[in-house]
Amino acid sequence: MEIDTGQCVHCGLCLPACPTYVETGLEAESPRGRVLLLERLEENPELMNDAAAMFLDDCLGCRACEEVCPAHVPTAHMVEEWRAKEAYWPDEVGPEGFAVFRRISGPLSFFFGSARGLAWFQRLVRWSHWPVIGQWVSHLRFVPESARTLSEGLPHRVPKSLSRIRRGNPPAAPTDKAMLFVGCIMDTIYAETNHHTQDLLQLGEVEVVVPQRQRCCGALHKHGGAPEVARRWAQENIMAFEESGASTVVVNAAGCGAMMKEYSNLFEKEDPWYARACRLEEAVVDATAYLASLPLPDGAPQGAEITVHDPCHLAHGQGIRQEPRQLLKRAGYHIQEMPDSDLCCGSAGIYNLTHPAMAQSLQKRKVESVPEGIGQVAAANPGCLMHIQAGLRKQSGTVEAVHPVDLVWEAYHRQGVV
Amino acid sequence: MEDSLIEALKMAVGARYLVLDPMALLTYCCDGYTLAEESPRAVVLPATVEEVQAVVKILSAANIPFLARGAGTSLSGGATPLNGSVIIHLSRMNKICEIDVENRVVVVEPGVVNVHITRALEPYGYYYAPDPSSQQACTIGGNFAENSGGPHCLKYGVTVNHILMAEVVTGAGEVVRIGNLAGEPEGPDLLGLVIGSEGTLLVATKLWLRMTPKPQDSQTVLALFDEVGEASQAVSDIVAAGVIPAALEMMDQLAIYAVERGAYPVGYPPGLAAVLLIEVDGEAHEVPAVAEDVHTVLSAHQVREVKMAATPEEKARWWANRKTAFGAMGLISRQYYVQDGVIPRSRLPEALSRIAEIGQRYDIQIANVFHAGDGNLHPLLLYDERDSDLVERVIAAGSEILEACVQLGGSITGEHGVGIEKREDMRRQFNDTELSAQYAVKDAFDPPGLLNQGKLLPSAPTCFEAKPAPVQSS
Amino acid sequence: MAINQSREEREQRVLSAFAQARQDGLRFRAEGLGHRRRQDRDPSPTLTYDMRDWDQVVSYQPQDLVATVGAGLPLSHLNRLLSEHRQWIPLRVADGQDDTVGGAVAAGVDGILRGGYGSFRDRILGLQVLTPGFGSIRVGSQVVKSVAGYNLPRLFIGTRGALGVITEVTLKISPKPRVSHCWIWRGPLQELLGHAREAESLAAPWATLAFIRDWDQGLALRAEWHGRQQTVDYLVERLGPGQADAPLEELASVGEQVVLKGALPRRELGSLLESWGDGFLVAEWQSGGFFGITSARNQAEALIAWIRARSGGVEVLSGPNVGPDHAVPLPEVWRRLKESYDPDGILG
Repeated sequence: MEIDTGQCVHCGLCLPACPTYVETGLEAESPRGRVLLLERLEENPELMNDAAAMFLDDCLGCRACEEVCPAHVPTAHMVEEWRAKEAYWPDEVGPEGFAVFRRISGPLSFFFGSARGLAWFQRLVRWSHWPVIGQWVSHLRFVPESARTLSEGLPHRVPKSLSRIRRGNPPAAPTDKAMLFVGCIMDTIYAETNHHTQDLLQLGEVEVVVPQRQRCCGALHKHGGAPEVARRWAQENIMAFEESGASTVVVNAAGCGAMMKEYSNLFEKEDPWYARACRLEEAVVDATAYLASLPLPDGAPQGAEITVHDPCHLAHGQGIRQEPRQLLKRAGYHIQEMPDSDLCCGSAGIYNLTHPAMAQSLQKRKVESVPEGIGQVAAANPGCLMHIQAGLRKQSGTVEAVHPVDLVWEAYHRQGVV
Repeated sequence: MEDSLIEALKMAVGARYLVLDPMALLTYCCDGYTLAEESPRAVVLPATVEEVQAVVKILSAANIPFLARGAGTSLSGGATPLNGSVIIHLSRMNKICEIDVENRVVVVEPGVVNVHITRALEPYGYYYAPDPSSQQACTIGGNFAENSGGPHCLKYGVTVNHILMAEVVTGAGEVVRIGNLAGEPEGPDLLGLVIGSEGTLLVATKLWLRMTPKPQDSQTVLALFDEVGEASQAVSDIVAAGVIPAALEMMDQLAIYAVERGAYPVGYPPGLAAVLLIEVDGEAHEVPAVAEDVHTVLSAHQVREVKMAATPEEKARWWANRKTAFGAMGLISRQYYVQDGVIPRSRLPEALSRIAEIGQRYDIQIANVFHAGDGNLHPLLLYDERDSDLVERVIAAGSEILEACVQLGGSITGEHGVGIEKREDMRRQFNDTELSAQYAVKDAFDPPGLLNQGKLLPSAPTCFEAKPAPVQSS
Repeated sequence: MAINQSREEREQRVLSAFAQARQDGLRFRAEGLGHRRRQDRDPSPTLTYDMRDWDQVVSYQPQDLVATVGAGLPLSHLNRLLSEHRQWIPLRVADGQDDTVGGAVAAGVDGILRGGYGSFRDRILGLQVLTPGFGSIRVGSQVVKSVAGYNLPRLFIGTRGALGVITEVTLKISPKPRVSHCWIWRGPLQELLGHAREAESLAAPWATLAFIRDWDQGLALRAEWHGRQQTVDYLVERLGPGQADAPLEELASVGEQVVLKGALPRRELGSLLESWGDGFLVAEWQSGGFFGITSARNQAEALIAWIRARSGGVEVLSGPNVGPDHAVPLPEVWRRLKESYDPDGILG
């Protein structure tokens, strides 16, 4: 995609939707400001300076602006293109975020590029909870300082094995055959959520397959400015899907779902991979949306009230807002809405590692908008879960950030349905 | 800017909230009106009235022009800095301070987004009535400056009818309250005067707004026409039948084409010449009766279809489709130039055919999407800034459309303001003496002329003297 | 006689009167029907100019709901004309007096229908004004919506001709309601407040929800619904039969009494009704607008101070202009405006 800012008529409707504008109040930190910067830099690259690079790189890629833009200006996508072009500036130059990404993109590729790497990642994360060893882990060279605050958001118990197993109770007469996309963070830190997703799919009369060759969706690399890595991994996932014989790909991480729904953007139209990517795109569904469409039973009313955070790549990226709520309500939950539920929490992939200050301001805003008396915050994306959880722990409250699938599973589990 | 001045401004708002980087300043070079551009000298982001006051005092002592800016959604250049002005960006002053249900008053800072006020009032059964189409982004301070309207001002009035009291900072840096909680002026209505003064008289730092009870019910009627003339006649006939709709909007063929490709397509059938969108609201028994009347009036015309919104979602969709029409122009044209002339409602058919004729003569595509109920036209002249000949034709055609509006007994601007854009067009509507009387207002509030320079009044060669010679009678 | 004169000729006569006032050291005052005369504390010799021959209808297009008329035209005459098209100006001042259109604008009057139809000042779209400083100028516009330039009409509404003489007024007109129906309750304040709240919870906006405190300090609530039969039927079912129409209270001649008009925040209206003392008061519940007569100067002074202390707005509409004066915000601005519009200070 080329950077074409021509569609922007400068109407400004995007401003209040943009978390960095809301946070700073600066036009340059707004989508309209970024489009203008991109436009002028395209005309005259000499204008580039540190400030401009920072304003552009501060974009979270949350796509809230794209959703409200009457002219569909793909601002977040344009910033991504810009990053891909500029991210490999010589060392010591460019925004801090670039440097952090350069430092961690190698380890990211190693850990998330294979099942073996993921197992190591899971081990390290588990160790980070231990005294002494945890210290050592968090001071590994490739672990950015910002990751230490993020580790506050880890679940107390990190699973010991990956989630890539088949669970019992397959449906007798399945109505659909779905591939469970296990992801990277979901496959390791939130492996249980993947198990729960499987259980609920089977409860909804869907046959589940879990191909072993699948891997990380590549979104982190794509957003960070390394699309070539994303392309390679996308090909692996496309093959995994084709071999699985499934007609649906169920994704329970909003970021992965949004990424996979755009896999074709990674390939030229003439490339045979393009058509294969398109077929995968059509098969991808978000787990909460898909589950909401299945014949799951009505649950008994749950005691505590919950609230729902709309992950950017679910609400803005995939237009999914009502489905997780429907699913939760059917399982018996009462939802008290929080204000600005679709304003980015600051997690934004690895943004909280590359831009810790902005990420923490947004985290604070998010945590403060959780209404009084709420027991759990539902968030259908691993990045949001960890980031919001870290924020909630800072508040020293008892509120937990939980994936809606886990909430629904627990409700049914208490009733003995799963 | 001098170092001492920079230091003083840093002291006033904090170093973090003084912007001097050229690329950061560049992003403030215009608002929704893109035909004039200039980077500001600096941008300051105060958080309190005291900070605004301090900044204004520093700037006025140094004789540096300045202007306040909200979300910069103005369509006439009201928030574009000229002559090396400093921008006082009020985006950090965005708190809703108090909701006084008993008195029906909501107190807000100027940087609050219009629709956020309505959202905050919703649990109490109230809303803030003026709803400019940019309401999801535009700020109440900007609405104050521009006296903004919107689709619903046909029945509920514009911004000036909904502001009761204001805390303002004058050009000299004095903080004053104008008005009272009852919205009842004593003597000269200075509040009514400064609302809509486009930031040329003072800077508002806090506003007391009227809360309007939410109507019990509302209904939207949609009419699809094969002919523009029929649609505009229907507009007059609805009002002549004694109905004051809450909103009465019209879109023509090209506008429909654009919005159907935008964020909220309705699924209008192809080949329509015009769509009328009519909202009636009020007491629950009243609404169906009035909607039925509207239906009857519409059906008496040559109309392809008349229908009522079946669900709240459908209604919301129709309105979202209409409200994002300007932005959607980006889908069919690189740029658009929107005019804002007003004509008496009864001259609507004539005005629309004149606009069409002007478009043909200049070879310009013109889409119309506007507040038909109060005769407030919004012809959108489509262009591409890379075609300089086209740009010139667009500007000339725009000016000619305004001339036509004035000839038909109307106004050059209904709600977008004069700004930079229509300064010279003011002469079409007012003669030199009348303009002098306007200059006297500017001079009375801002004798050194530092506030929002180059806006609202024509650049004035000779005839404007601040203190006119008395008119001698014969 | 008036009909044969062009506007220019009539304007010339007013300008000549300006010149004469300047020459003779007199204050110039334009007057209509004279109901809103205010006696200043230090009266200066005045040249009173009768505006009643500015009584023509300059333009009226029923479809536009806009009319431009001479300032001297009585509202009752205008309404007679408008009623032929089922339209009207819903200004009903509580004392039942007629006003000329220009007089109503200059005195800043409002009526009991303000809650339902909005304030009278919001109907004023444009004015033709004669000012000593600039001569004849048109301010505002002749369409329902215009933001071209400063909102100059606001300088002439309620300022009693201090900056210029209004000669023509362009007004927004309303359609007449299909039906109207009226309920009147009498009783103690708390009971009436209960009725007002109930009425508001059933339907809104009412044409008026007016509390009336009569000369004998008896209280009544007058609720009028203007709209459709369907609503009236529903309201009759809930509130009782009511009546199609009822006359407003008859008022005795005003004489030396002080007439006050203004508005209060709603929260304070009950207290105002309780503390008015001797006299007559109408207070509209939805808008906070009130109109009151009090026979004692010191009581009027106390009321004015009381109202201002509660962030209300109040002015003497007619009778002796008792203090205290409110502090004009931005006095320097007003002084400079006055210097431009009336450089010789001949206007009151």
